[in-house]
Amino acid sequence: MRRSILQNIVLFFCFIAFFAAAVTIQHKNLEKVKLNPPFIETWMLSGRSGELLKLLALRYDLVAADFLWLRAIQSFGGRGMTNRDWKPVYNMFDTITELDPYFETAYTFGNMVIGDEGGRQREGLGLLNKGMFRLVRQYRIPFEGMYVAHWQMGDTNLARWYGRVAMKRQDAPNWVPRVVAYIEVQAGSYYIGFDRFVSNLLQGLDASDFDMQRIALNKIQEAIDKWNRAYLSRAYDEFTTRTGRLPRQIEELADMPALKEYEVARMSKFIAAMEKRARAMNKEFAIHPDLRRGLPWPPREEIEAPLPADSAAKPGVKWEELRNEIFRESLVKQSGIPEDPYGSRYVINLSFAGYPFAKKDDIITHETDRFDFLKNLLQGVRNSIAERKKMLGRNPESLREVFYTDFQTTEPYGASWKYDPATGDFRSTSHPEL
Amino acid sequence: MMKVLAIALNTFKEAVRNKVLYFLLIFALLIMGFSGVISDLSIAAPEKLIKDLGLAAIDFFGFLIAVFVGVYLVYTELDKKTIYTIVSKPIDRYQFILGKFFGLLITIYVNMLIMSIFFFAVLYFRDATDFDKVMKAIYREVAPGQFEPIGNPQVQYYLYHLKQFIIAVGKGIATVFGYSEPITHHLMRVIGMSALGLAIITSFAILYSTFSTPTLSAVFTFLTWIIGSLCEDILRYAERLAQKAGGVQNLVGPDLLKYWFAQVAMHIVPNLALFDKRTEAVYGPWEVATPNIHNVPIDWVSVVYGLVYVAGVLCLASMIFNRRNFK
Repeated sequence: MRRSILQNIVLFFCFIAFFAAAVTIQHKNLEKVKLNPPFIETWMLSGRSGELLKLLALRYDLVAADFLWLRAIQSFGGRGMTNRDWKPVYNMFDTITELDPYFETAYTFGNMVIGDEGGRQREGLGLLNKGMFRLVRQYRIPFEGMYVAHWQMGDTNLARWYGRVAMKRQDAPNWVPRVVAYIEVQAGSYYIGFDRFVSNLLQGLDASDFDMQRIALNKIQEAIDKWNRAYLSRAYDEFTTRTGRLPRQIEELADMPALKEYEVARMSKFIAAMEKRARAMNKEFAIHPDLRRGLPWPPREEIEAPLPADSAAKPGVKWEELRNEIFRESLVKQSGIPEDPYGSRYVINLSFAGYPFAKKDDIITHETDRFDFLKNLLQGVRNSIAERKKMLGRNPESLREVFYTDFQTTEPYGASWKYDPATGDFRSTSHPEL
Repeated sequence: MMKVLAIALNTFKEAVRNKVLYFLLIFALLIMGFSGVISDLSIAAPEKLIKDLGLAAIDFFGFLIAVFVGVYLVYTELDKKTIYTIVSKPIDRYQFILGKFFGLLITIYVNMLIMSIFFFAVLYFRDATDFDKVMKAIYREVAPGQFEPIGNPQVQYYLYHLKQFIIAVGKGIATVFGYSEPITHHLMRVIGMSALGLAIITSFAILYSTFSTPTLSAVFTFLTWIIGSLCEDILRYAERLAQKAGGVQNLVGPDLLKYWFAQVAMHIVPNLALFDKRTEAVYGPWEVATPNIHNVPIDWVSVVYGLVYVAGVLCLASMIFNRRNFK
């Protein structure tokens, strides 16, 4: 009897000791639970299906998510073959991602189903946003957000934001910054876009990767072109507002405020900055000879000009280390019409000017593009005349007989059209040789 | 110690004769095999599906074994009066409780080992019978883009699968004893943590069976498991109440009562979420983006928590059993 009492006392103290230790550890654990970030904390127990299911799943939430995932795939296929109503599928993906917050494919596939197939890009982005803040080290979700925002919604600012997030993610491959740089340019962040493509080119040079150099150089031209066009477009608007008429020559825009003392990257300055440094680094060239076609190559004296005193270019230095100085040296503060990075010059295509649905990029174009446009237009009209001739068995008497209305397209150079009913010959007076 | 061991081994022998155990084991194995099949229905992450389902099955069926076998252990001794033959010997009652506990735990762990071997074998087999690997095994590339079968493709196909099945079972057994490949990396740790969580549930099953009937014991154990699984969520609920009111100091009436009840209760009930490392097993630690190998670090604090909690519950069970009148 005495032994039993003693044993009970010992057991009681053991129980107190063990249980107190357990409660102390549990207290520390629960303190950590309280510190959980709000987006985890607040979505629990608020009554929505996913959150409720998470509780009901009793720690088997991953399995519950898996079964719902399989069901969602079947549902996607089934709805694709029947009513194509994707709305209920959204709820499924919302619930799956509540049950399994780290299921990356559920976010991206869900977005594809809801956004791409269902046309509900906002809801798709909602799903991606949820995943983006939970999978904080993965690039794929914000990258898809960028895709949706830019190519499906046409919202470049939003796309730029997603792109910047994607780029900073831990597992982002090295091609992501290139795509994001493209978005930056589309969204009007020319400095950033230009800088990133310059960086790409320099990386390509350091790695002796010809394709990378080719793509980067192409993108640099594109970025500078976009940059120039932004100023030209503003000047075009200012001109039409001030004069109440359309400009006939690009030079008419040169006096507009938008083209006064503006800063832009100039392709020839950029090439000169590169080539100068290549010489200082004992390299034969910076821009590969096979890539020089269509570039506004700078004059010899500009390439041979001395480097700035603070330049780090010397043999053995990596190109990437010269990124900032090349960037700085490529910028110019100038007034007037900018230099065309494609080695041509900017012009106004009068066929588009005044046409209500024309895009600014079609109105303000490159000389080469305007020439190609004229050639294609002539060819198109000549084909129509030939077709009509086949039907009539003779040359049409006028262009009205070809098009059933007056031929109203303005000649791209502002000249006139010349049609000879006797020979069926159609030409432009600006380029009679074509 | 030898006395405890003797009772434990006897309990194990007794438990393995229980038919319920085999039904549960067969169901668990079926579910794991099924996971290998349904993973083909998923357009992505088939391996995740197998892991989720396999690990959950091991944990859940381990729990069911603890409940359905555990609640009868003490009761049967009392019901059949076999307890008299034990207590008449120089064995303390706490030793009897410990023996029963360890006996049941061995039963559960042996079952978990069998389930684990099967689970690993499914994972290895699924990985080895990936379409590309099968094609590589039965066709060889004679020129770029040109393939020719190695022998009879149909025979080769079945032979390859048979060979991979045998290899997968072998690897499955080896994995339980420490071997691992990227696909099964640290999964034994996850199962180990599950086993520790089950030890808590087993100790509760023993505790309840010392003073109540098997049905009630099963209900109590089941409820303990539910509360233990929801422990952190209930705490969050309490915190939410406080948050809504603008702080604990603003809570009044039933809400204040709920808050403190949740706070106190959640410190006492076992926090089973601590032993659930399945998310880490599937996704790896959250600090690393898309890791190829999913490391599951050992959470020593939780291990200590589990051990002291089990010890505490067993002390309580022994105290209650000490006072129990067998007449």
